Amino acid sequence: MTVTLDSKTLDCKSLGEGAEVVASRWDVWVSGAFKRKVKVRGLVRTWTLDCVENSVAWASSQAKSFEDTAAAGTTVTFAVTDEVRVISTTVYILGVAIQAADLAGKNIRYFTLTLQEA
Amino acid sequence: MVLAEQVRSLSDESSKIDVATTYTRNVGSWGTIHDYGNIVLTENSLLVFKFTINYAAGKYRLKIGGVSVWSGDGTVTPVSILAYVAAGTVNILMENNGNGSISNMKVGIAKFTDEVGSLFAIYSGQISLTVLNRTTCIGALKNAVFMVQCFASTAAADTNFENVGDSLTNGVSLAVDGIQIDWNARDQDTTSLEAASAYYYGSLSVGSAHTFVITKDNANTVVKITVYAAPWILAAVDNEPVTLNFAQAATFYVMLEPLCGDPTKNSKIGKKRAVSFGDSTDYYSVATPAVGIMTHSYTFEIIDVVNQFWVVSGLFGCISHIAVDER
Repeated sequence: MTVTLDSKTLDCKSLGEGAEVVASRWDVWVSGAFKRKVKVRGLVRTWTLDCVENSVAWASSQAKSFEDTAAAGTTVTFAVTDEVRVISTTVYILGVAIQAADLAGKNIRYFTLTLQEA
Repeated sequence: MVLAEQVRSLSDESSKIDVATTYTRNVGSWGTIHDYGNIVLTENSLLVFKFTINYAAGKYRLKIGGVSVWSGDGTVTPVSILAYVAAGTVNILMENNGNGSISNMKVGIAKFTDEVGSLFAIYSGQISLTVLNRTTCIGALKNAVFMVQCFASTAAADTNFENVGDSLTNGVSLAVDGIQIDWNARDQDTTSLEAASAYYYGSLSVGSAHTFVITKDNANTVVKITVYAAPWILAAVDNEPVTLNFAQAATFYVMLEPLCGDPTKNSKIGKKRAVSFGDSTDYYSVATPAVGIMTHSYTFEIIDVVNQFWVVSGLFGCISHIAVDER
């Protein structure tokens, strides 16, 4: 699986996708019975990417770069290519969660990105 | 959840000429009363005109790029005109014949979503236009207002625009979808001044092609024509731009604005009944008719959204925004 975000290729260990239906609901009385109607407005797709960096200085870190992009509120390109699925879209970065670890003297940085389709 | 759409594209809109100065010319033959200069259109554009005629005498004609688009004798003023014009540099010029005085010339570019047009040109054959189907935030498009602006002249002879049943000298008639219709307004040429014009604004469905055919009694009569359509311009007749479709108990909003005129605009929810007792019993909500920018809102608490009707009118006005606030 090849994952790129804002033209940066990620070392992505797992990818999760969600699709939230956005809708309004109201109650009706039809043919002597109560029903709850739904007006669907659309779908909001989100992705969660679990990524890792190995011995990368903070100034050069992808996690830092994505934090900066998230703070700016700009949209970026997002692409995934694997054997069964191709995603190519534009997204907002809504979250960057970082966990740093020192494994046998190596500076390992795990980070989780939360994306929403723009 | 509030969903709103700006259907009048203000980012594409601009004022090109705004000259209050009064110009006069008292000569009994055609000549330039004032040349307003050139304007540059970076794309095919809806040109919006409004000006005042101070003497209801003689004859006037407005030219775009040297080609007449409108004529009048000054009895109707201020004058409001729309024309869909090809990209490029075009000259705006007013001519008169007789005692003439014009002022307050305003010309600009307007743009609406879902618009289509047939560029201003000499009529050469059937014009066919389709406004495409689309789902808006308040429902699917249903009808658009189609505008036809015509100018006609016959060398050294009269020219007259004909309504249904008319039989006039060098008549020019309009058929929409194969059926002759009446013009909404006509300026006839009964003194062989080679300047007559007329316009038609009608409500027609979106999603299918509508044809506009000009018929001339005299093959030597030259007709210039522009046709423009959008769900968001207003006519004198009621237009139902959208089939309302949103959540029950939601609040519907629309904003109506001046375009090439500032008419009293109307926005109503409901439908004329089998036996009508007037608007107060035909419509569940009637916005207070107003000039300027006018907002109409209505919360569908008891009245079903589906199977309901929303109509608007106000010749030379337009819709700028539509919105719905769903609970």
